[in-house]
Amino acid sequence: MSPPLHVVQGQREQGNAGASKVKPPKYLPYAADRPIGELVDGMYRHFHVMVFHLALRYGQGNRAWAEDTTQDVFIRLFKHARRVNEMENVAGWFYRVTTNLCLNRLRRDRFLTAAPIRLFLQQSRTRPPTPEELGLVQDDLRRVFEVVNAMPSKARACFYMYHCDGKRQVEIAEIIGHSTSYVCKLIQRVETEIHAADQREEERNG
Amino acid sequence: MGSDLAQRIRSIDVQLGAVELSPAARARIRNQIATEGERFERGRVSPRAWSAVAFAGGGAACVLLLWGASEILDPAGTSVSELRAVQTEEGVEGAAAAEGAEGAAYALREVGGRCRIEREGDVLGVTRDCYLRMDTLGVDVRVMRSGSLVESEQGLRVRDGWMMFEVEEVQKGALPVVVQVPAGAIAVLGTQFSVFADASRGHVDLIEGSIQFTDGLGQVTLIEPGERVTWRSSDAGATWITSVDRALDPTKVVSRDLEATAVESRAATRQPSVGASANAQRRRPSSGQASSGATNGARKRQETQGYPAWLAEALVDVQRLRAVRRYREALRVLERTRRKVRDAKVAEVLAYEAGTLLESLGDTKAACEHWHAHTRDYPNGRYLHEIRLRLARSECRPEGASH
Repeated sequence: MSPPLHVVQGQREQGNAGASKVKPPKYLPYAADRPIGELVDGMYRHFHVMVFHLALRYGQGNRAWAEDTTQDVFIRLFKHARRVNEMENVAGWFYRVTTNLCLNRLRRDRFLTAAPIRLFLQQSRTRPPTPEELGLVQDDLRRVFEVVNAMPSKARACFYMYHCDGKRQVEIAEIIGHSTSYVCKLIQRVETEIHAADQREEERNG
Repeated sequence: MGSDLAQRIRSIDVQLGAVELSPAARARIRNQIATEGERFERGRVSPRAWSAVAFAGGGAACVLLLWGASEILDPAGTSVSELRAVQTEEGVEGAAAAEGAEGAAYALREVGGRCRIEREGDVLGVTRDCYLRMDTLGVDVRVMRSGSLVESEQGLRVRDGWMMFEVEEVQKGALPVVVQVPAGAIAVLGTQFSVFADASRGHVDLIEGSIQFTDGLGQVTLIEPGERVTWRSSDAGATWITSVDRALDPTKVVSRDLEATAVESRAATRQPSVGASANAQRRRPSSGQASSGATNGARKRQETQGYPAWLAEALVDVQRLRAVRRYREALRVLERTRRKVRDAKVAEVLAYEAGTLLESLGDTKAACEHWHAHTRDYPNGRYLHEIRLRLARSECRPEGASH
């Protein structure tokens, strides 16, 4: 068993190269008089990889879902493009907006995929991609991926933000709009589940 | 263990990072961005905004519809349609509103009778047997004796004369109609009453419903049907002395139409009190201050003046029942009485009374049929103008029109 997780206020060590996709090069703002379509297009070229990656991560690796979410983020950007263009931390804005949009969409999807609603809408449940389809062949990675995907969307998002993006719990709490202790609890819950899965696997292998 | 976990999750994330947007998705998103950008540049409204506009428009239409409906259902609103109907019906006569009163939203207009209206400043001098109406407030005035009055936004001020008022029911929450008399003011919420006033005295008789009388000192008195508020000038002539006669003397609530008949008879014969009921005699200014005479005495006097006691008694019963708004019973008594009456003039009065009771009952269809029958029976009757007005007010179909 891992030691209990404590609320960490200090600076965590930065993530490894794997998280580089969510840290794009610094955005250079466009001239304010440029047409809004041009601004958005420029931001799309700059940030679409990061946005898609975040969406894919929170969407359990569902590519179609991530693509739709990416499009939604940039369509919504039209309303705020000029303001965002002049922001100091544009990447931070995209990170925050994408995370919240993903969480909202996941909440909505959870409602729509409820059995009575599906029955009413005559829709079948979409199957999330298997770890193999995403190229995860190692057993331990597959196990972790399955456990994380089985967790509630908010817990999943917190866990990724904490471990992959090196976000502090305070920052995560600010992004998702909850208290730091709640964030801590969510992360801890995912970790406990992973350790429990590991233990079960060890017991099975003797 | 913790770092191992972090390592594993990062590995998964790296693996996820290897997945890229499909070319089709890229093309779709860029295309969408271009379309949206073009729309933004042109300042077009998005489909969502259109739906919001449509929703807001629908809401506004509903509000307007409801507002319009309430306007139609509003008593003041009905007056407008009624006004139109009456104007169509009355033609030139209806359009002949009181001289100089055009333009005033609350102006009195002539709706029938033999009127001669003279205006001196704000004061309207009206002759007897004149029917006036104030559409905005739903006030009908029948001038029983020549007098003068002043229009105001909230009602009327009676300076002198003898007038019968019929006020439509005021909607809940709306201000009451105020009829000012020399000694005070009457707040009305829908009722029938008569006002008599001259230079030195006057009184208000309530026929139906209830009114609030506020005297010059601000004292408010609730008047019940059959009660009379009397006033006379003080000896010095500076103030009014007001008293309320609360003894419900049935002779006081005798049919107003018979009183009117008395007025007409007097005018025809030029002799006072010929053909008048006992109550009419008592109310006439020339007959002096009304005494609280006994019912039997009054009936006897009526009998001697040409009306049998049973008729006087029945009329008293009808008026008493009407005063407490028991219209159906009043109608029953009246119908019984009508069957016994042989005098055409009295029969006409009673028939007219029956029609008003039907109206008060809210049986518009029966009232319409009754008015048509009345017009047939008395083609040159004294109520012709009033019946035409009532037919228009009740929006009755012309006689013989298919339903």
